[in-house]
Amino acid sequence: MRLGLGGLMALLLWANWQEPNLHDYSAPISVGALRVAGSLPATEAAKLHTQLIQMPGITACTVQAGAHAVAYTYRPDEITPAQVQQQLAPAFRVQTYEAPAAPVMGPQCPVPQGYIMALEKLRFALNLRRLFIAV
Amino acid sequence: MLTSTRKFSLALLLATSLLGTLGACKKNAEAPVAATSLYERLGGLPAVTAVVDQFIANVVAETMTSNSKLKRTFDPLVQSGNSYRVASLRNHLIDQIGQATGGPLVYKGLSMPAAHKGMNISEVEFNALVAELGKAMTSKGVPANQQTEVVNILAPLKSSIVAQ
Repeated sequence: MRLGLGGLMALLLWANWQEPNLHDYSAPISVGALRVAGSLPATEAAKLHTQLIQMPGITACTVQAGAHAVAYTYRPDEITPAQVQQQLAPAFRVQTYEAPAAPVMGPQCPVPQGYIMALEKLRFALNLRRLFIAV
Repeated sequence: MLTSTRKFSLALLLATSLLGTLGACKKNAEAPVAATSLYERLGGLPAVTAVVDQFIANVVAETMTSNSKLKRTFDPLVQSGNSYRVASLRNHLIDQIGQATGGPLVYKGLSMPAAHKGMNISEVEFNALVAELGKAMTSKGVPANQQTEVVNILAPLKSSIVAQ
């Protein structure tokens, strides 16, 4: 019982040691990119932009008509790149673009980034200071 | 029925939790009433987040053009397996812009020289980045005068970023 209480107190102390971060209050996003096949005049680029930005889960998008390139940010909990491509497919010929991974150089953090981000989410959830901060 | 040890432990737990939160309360209660900050005039966190997200989309799209000025430094963002680097950059930008414009919380990331050490960012690359930030603010409806305020606040960072 004492160990449990001590552990809980230590956890609360860790979580409340510092104020939360501003970004903790906003939903996480990921970045997606597409290449558009065929011609992409300005009017079509504008249509593509409008269709993409109106999809639920898309927070921002940019269309570079000259480069046939589209980049967008999205909330992974609400939409996936496959769904984006599927919804655009009837009107536009798009393919997911991903730059080839660069060779790993130098030391790498042994802890998977996913673990670190999960810990950050836990810290924010247990941080009681956030209840007194208006963002 | 609770033993005295358990009562003490619970009381200590409650006191520790309250101490952590009351410190924040006191800080906020003592804050003097000030003029509306740029952060508040921009629209607070939703506005800052929207601009940062648009900025990242702009930068990624720019790296996909044939004469990209930002490809060298930002191409890794769209490389496979690097989604956490994007998230990390976005989070730091939100924190930094939030603090710089008078938001309620502070940026806890690396200093600009440390964050850009070894990247050898040129003035051309820096100016291209500022241009994309300007486009992002324009597309998200930030008034011109507020855009100027943001740029003036972030401009002094140039010497800490370029040629590191």
